Amino acid sequence: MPSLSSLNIAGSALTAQRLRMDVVASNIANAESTRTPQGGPYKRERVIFGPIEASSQSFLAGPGAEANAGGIEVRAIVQDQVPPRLIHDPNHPDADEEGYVAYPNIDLVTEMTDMLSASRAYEASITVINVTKNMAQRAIDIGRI
Amino acid sequence: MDIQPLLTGKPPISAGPKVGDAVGKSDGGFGKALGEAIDSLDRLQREADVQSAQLAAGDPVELHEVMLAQDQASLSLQLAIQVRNKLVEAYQDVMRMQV
Repeated sequence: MPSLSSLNIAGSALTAQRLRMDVVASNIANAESTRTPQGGPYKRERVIFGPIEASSQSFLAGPGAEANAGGIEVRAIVQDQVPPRLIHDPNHPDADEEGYVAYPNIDLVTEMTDMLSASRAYEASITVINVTKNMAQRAIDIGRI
Repeated sequence: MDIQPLLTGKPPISAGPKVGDAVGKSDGGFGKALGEAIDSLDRLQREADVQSAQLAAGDPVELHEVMLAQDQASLSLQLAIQVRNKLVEAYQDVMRMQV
């Protein structure tokens, strides 16, 4: 069975975009979280993508190569360092001495845009998978009467 | 009267080079390749089954990984079927030859 490396590369992209969706969902769900176990409000998270290093000439080596064909992976999930929003509410249990409550620095519009972008990237990788499958199918059909 | 033994140093018939050996050597490459192809087909089918079972059991397995494994198993099965068809066709062509 020829190992179709495009399938594995696209599969890694699907995993990465799904993780990005998880982070976006977590950000949207925690938009009003003022109390984290570490103290302070929830900090917006974002994913950092990086390529999986394809071993040299893996594209030229043909189907016999067992080497890593490349792809994408999530390198890190980092917290945004933008300062939190301060809302003046002295009666809130989490208010500091001046009566300000620190809310997470999450903008719903930004999260929605990120979500849309993740969804489009997911669909693009699915298209890659479908086209690759079609190509393999056509190749097998060469032998069919 | 001297009764000479029948087999005087001639090697027994069974110890000569067999016809099967020659055929095996010339077909060794192809037979090995066929065996490996069937092994990899079996491995892909089993992997697809395992991942489907994990998904059904609720294990944290990626949905697209399951679908990709099933796709690869199905493609490799179709390839194996086509190879078998070609082999059978070639055999039938040879058998059809007039002696």
